[in-house]
Amino acid sequence: MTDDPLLKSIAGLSVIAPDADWAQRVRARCHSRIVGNHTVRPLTIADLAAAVLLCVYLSVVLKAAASLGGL
Amino acid sequence: MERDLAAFDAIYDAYNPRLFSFLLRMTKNRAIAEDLLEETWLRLVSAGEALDAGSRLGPWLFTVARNLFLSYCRSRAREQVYTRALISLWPDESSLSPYDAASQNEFEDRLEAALAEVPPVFREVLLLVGFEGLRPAEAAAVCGITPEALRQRLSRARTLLSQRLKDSPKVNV
Repeated sequence: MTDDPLLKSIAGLSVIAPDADWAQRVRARCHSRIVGNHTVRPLTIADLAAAVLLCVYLSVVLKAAASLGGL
Repeated sequence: MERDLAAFDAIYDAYNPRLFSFLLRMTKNRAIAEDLLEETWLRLVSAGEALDAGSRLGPWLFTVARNLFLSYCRSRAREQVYTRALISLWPDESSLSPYDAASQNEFEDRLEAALAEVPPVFREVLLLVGFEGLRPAEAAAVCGITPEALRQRLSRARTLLSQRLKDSPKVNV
């Protein structure tokens, strides 16, 4: 296929660079996203509330299981 | 993390102009090409760790860019033609003689205009194989078709482009 003159002429077309300011802005946005991927998110009130609810639910389930088992 | 940022920068520098050229020739609109390219990069940083270590990044990036272009086409359901704006984007060729520059630009302009007239489904295979130099199997994977289907599509695309080049007016320089 590389011998094809038409494809060769397409290969010779100009590489068009995006606007420099735009490129820098997108790079910075991706950098902040990468940094965000590495950052451990601190616990929030919602996380703690979910954990408490889970504990309560599990204790109810265990109690019910114990009473059904005759313990 | 520093290594991740450096790795991203290397990929970004290598592929950003190539992906932009591809998207600009597909969309024929600088602003839309920029939007689609920005989304392509955000997809990469979101999926970076999920990427298979054996997967080749180039074809993966072009697949994402192409799928975003298809989504854009579906949502807009129409294609805007800004060939003149595209042609005005050429960088200066100051190292060439005025005659060579005029002659080369004239051919490039004709080729760009002819390429812009080829339907997107054929234009993309010409760009992926001809301009990007992807192997047929890679280009087929990007387009979601079999290598045999790609070979047929490329042959048809080549015929369409030749026809449009023949039909385009030649300017004496």
